[in-house]
Order: sequence, then structure tokens, then C-alpha cells
Amino acid sequence: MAKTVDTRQSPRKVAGETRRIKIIRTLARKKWVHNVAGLVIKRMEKRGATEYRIAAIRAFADDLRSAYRKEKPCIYTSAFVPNELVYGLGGVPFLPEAASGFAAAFGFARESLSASESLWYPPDLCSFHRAGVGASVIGLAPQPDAVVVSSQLCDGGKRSLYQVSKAFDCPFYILDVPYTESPESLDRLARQIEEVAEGLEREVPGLSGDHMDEAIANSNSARSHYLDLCDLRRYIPSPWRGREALNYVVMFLWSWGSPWLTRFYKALKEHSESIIQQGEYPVKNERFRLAWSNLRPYYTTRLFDYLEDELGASIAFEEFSYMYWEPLDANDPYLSLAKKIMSNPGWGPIERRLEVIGKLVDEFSIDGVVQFAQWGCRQYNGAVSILSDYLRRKGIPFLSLAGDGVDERNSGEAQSLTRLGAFLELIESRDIRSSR
Amino acid sequence: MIHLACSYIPYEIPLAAGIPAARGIFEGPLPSMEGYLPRDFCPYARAFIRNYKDDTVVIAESCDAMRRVYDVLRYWNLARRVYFVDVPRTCNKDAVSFYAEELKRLAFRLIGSQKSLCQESKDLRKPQGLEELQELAELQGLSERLMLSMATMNEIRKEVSQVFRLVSKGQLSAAKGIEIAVGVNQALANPGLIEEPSAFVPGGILTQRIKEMTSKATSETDPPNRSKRRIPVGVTGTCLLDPSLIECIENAGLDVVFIDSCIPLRTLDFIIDIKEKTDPFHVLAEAYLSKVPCPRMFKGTARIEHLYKLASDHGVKGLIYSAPKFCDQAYYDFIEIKHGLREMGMGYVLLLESDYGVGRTGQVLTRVEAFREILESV
Repeated sequence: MAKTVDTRQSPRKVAGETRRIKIIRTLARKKWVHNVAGLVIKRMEKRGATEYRIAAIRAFADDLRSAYRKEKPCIYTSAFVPNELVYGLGGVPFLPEAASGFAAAFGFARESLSASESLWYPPDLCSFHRAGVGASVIGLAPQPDAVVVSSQLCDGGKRSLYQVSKAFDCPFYILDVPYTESPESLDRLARQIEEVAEGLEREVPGLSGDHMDEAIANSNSARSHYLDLCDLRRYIPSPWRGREALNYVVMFLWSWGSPWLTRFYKALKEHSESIIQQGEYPVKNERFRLAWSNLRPYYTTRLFDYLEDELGASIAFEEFSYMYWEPLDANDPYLSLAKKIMSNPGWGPIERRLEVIGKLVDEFSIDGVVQFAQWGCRQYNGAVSILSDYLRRKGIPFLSLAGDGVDERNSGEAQSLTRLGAFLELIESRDIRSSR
Repeated sequence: MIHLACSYIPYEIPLAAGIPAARGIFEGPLPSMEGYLPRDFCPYARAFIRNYKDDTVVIAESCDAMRRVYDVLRYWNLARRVYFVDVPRTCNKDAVSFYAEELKRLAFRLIGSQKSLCQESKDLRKPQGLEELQELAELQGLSERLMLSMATMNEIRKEVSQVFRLVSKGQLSAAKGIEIAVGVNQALANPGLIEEPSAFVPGGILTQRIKEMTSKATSETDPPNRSKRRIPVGVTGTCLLDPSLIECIENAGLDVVFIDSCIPLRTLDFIIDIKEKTDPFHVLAEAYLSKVPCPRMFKGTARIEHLYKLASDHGVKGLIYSAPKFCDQAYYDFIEIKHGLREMGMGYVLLLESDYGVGRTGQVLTRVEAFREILESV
């Protein structure tokens, strides 16, 4: 008879617990810090900060306050879990892989990565997941009350969060997403979502399905504004800076179901409208329009200054920002959420993804496609040969730009700049725009 | 011929359909096929990319890398037909029913492909013609044939288990055991065994062949000698790429007493409980989803408990984890195994990143020898 297993991480000290991490860890849990943050946001508002930025900051400030202060249960989710489920149950979602982007942007990625490496996470794994695990175990991230992952798209997401659930000894749920869409597979997934909801209600005090209608309504309302925004982004020149759009991909992954997302997309839509009316486009003299696939480096980099300001290339749209699901049905939320999950073009045969990229190229007048080849991302990088061939047949140049979104040590900035420069020269020499 | 990509795809189905099939086992990626997948990709996935010409390939939903293999083979027309089997990650009632349907669909398609009736739909998500294929399957007595193929595979598995019992007793080297398991896999693919679709694979011939191979292997080689106080170790991982690592470990003075990998243990070390009046696809689905868990599955602590039991039963002093380079499932699994076994009092786990032929490198030999020294000093 085997012993009873306890797979929790050993309580030994992990690397990355530096003095500044300990200070931030403590401060993040203090009420007064969140109150001060609230005052700062109000002050920013009074000083005329852009409305959509304020909405985004408020969205995260609210969620983080609730999670760190334990005002609401904090549910860790992987990137493609529909967070309407979490908001609908009255919890707050936390996406460690998305938070890794924040960690990189604010300079905490090094400690998070060191922590994961000291727990045997090899550097060949995707740094978004490594940093997510690291930030969790050193307490930089809030403590989870439960973990929900979906099995689609990314092995690292589900595996890393499973281990986080063990480290914190909290309930773990997996949505085992069928690969093939059929009425039966949708029913199976809907039943799983319902079981997860019931499990969370049972296991996590403070969760109940009372807010589901509200979360679904929030999601649908945000979706409607978002589609209007997507229409505006077709405009030439582009009304929104691509580097910022890539930053706000985090909202797209995180906040469906939150009331702040509606305000964010509504304000952003209005902002884009005013940019178009006033003709004050962020990329002066736009010469090229690019579509960007996968994420970006979130630490300080000259990549986007070079691309947008020096070379006049707009990132007109990002593959991650593609709206792929139909409005949700509050009368049948679980089936609706199942449909949303299964509509993800990254899931299923590669033709689904190619179709979306083809649409983006046509609808956003794209001159070239750049895929940020995140180190360790098998899901996206494994399709490079296909994507490259597909776009070649469409007459659209394609660049696979190797890099790392979180781990700066894997970045070859000068090389990336050279490759981007050469890529735009290629587009220019082919005169893609006038050949349309 | 059908090439199978995962231990969760039952041999029984192609056998019942009367088509020779084998698990894809390679000596490494083909240089001519480099470029379809990036270099920072699992060596098994890269090796799986080759031109199968008129053959059929069945890929399972194993991991990100194998999903891309499925896409590459189809997109570049590298096989006549490429089928996908959606293997659940859990083993509850719902998952078993789902997987039974998935296996049924695969069987119908294989039968249809034999009869050139498989109407591949342009919409890959909605395959058409399954009703017609079902009728054809019924005409051919698929259910009965499936029961027979399960019984045959049970015989074969029992025989292979005997081989690895000899390995664990030190009467046969693990490298030879792997050689026999690979031989069995090749024998299943031998078209000579199946004369026509209506005939059935003769299990007796195969079991006899395994016995001959075992007897030859035991007589030809000196078994590892326990009296020389060699240290017993186990080998685990996602997919053991080739036997070179096992040979290397044995050459370094350690006895490999079990190998928890797709080949052999997780494919060939379980018996299907054949229930006469139950849907054979359901029986098959339940048996495969309940077998020794692979790192891709989410079965709670079952995998660690299983490994701990294996280690305790075989009295191993250490565990060697073989992770194909860039295999995410293996990297995450290793962390779990390392921490889990440490909590249970078994602290000696060595991670070896592997590639084809890794066991022939001096670096790996040095690491295994260093591991042996650690174990000797315990």
C-alpha cells in the first residue's frame, strides 16, 4: 500500500525572495496601500488622464484589492478560461501568466523567474508560466482560493497552475476541452463548466452563482463596444498604437464579466473616434500596417519605438485580440461559455487559425504579419512553417521574430531590430500596399 | 499500414479493422524533414514528421507538439490520411463515454478507408459519412472482431509483462527488454501476419515470437549480475526515445529494474477486463483511460503513488527521469515527481534531458556515473 501522498512543494526557502519583494508582498496586503492607490487614481482622473486608461487601472486595482485583501475569493485561471464564470460566482480571477507581463513591465520578473528556477522549472519552459509560478510562491501574487484551468491550447498553463494549486493546497479544476466541435462535445464541456461552478460554490466559501446574470450581461455589453472598436481599428491610419493594444491584450484575456471592461472598451472606442475626427494619429506618416501574432516583450524595449516612430509601421491589429465568440445567453450560461471556449480559433485544426489570420489581413489592410516567437511556446511556434506558407500564397510577407516576453535574458534586441528593419524593407520593395 | 502516435490509441482498433499498425518508433528526425517544426521542439514530434506516402497516421491529443504534428502532416500532405483521436485527460464516467465514441469514430473511418468509402469532409470538424461507415462496420462484425483483438492484445501484453518481470528480477537486461518490446511493436505492423481483412491477427504466432525473442535474448547475453552489488534504479519519463539511454545507465553500473515510459510499461503492461455484454468500445475506452497514468493526464496523485509503489516494490535506490528535450509535459511532470517523491522519503531523482542517441554521449554517461556515486554513498 502506497503512502498517502502530499505533493505540496517543500517548505524550503526559494530563490527570489529579495528584500524588495518582501516589502512589496507586505504592502500589497495592506488596506491603506489600496486606499492610497484609490486616491492616486482619482487624482489622475482629475488631472485629465485618458478615460480608458483610468477604466483599465480601476479594473485591475479593484480585482487586486479584492484578491490581496481577501475581500472576495481569488480564483487562479489559465488564459482561456471564460472569466465570466469567476465574476459570475462573485470571485475575482487572477491569471498568473498575464500577471507575468506586469511583473516584467514593473521589473519583478527576475525574482519571479529565479524562484521558479530554484523549484526546478527549466528555462526551456515558457517564461510567462515560469514567472507566474515564481510570483505565486514568493507571495508577489495574491494567494489562490482555487484554481481553474482549461486544457486547450497551452500545456504550460494547465500544468503550472496545477502545481500552484498543490503548493497552496487549494481545489483544482480542469475543463477538459474536446478538440472537435459537435453538439455532444459542447454538452460535455457545458456539463464540466457547471460541475466546476458547483464545485467552486461548495469548496470555496463566499462563492455563489447569484452574480451570473450580471457577469453575462457585462460580458455582452463589453463585447458590443469592443466590436465597434474593432471596426474603428480598420481605419487607415491606425487610430490606436499597437504597442498599447498589445499591453491591453491582458484586459481581453482577464476581464470578461467585469463591469470595468464595458467602461474600458466604450471609452477606448470614443477615444479612437476622436483620434480619427481630429486626425491626430499615433503613428505619424503610417507607411506600413502589420498584424502581430502572439504576445510581446513586456520589459523595456526599443522595439516599438523603432517600429512605430522610426519606421512608420503601425501594428494595426493583434491575433490575440480577435473577437471569436457569439453573444452569451444568460438563460443557458454554461452552454454559452462552452461555445465561447470552443470557438477559440487557436483550438482545433490549424485551418481555423489560418482563416482568422486571413480575415485580419484582408479586413485590416495588412502589409505583413509578425509572429513573436515566444521562447518555449510550442503552440504558436509549431505552426510557423504552415503560417509562413499560407501567407506566402496570399502574397503577404511573414516574419517569425524570436524573443521572450518576460525573461529579458533571452532577448536579443539588436538582432530583433535588424530583422524588423529588413522585414519592412522587404515589404517596401514588394510594394504590397499598392498591389492591393 | 497505420502509424500510431500515442499509447492511448489502442492497437486493438486497427487490428479489428484488419490493418497492420504500429506505434511510431524512430531513430531520430530525418534531415530532409527539418524545417517543418522549429528546432526547439520535442525530438519525438520532430521525428514523427516524415513522408508516410500511402500510409495512414493516427495522432492523439497528447500535447501542444503533437497537435502541431497533426497540422503539419495534413497541411503538407505527408500521409494519405491523418486522423486525430481526442483523448480525455481525466477518467470519469463522462470521459469514458466520450472516448468510447471517439474510438468508434476512428474504427469506422479506418474501415471506411480500407474500402475507400471514407468521405473526408472539407469541414474538418464535421466528418460526414459516419452513418454509412457504421453500417459497413456492422456488416463486417466489427464488435466481435474488437472483442477478439482485445483478447489477442491481452495475450501479447501478458507475454511482454513476463519479459519485464525477468528484467526486474535481473535475469534479462532492460535494454534487451526494450528491444523485445520494440520487436513486438514491429511484428504488429508486419503485413504478413494479416492476409486479408476478413482474417484475424493470430495472437498465438505473436506470443510464440515473443517467447522465442526472450529465450534468444536470455541465452545470448549475460544478465546483470546482482551479486556484483549493482544498484537498482527505475527509469521514468514521458517518452523514452530510444534504448541508448538504458544501455548507458547499465554501462554506468546501475541495474534498470523498471521502465515507466510509453514503450513498454504504459502501452503493454495492463490487461483489459473483457466484459461480454458491454459495448466493446466502452470497455476499451475505460481500460485505456484507466491504465498507468501518463504525465499528460490529470489524475491527481495517481502517477506519484504508482511510481512510489513501483520504486518500493522493486527496491530501487534512485529514479532517473528521462525528459525529451523541449518536452513541456516532462519538465512539469519531473518537478511534480521530484517534490512528490521527496515528501514520501525517496529523494534521489536525476533529470536527464534526452535526444535520440543521447545515451551514446560522454556527458550523459558522466552524469549517470556521478548519480551512481551518490547512490553508492547513501
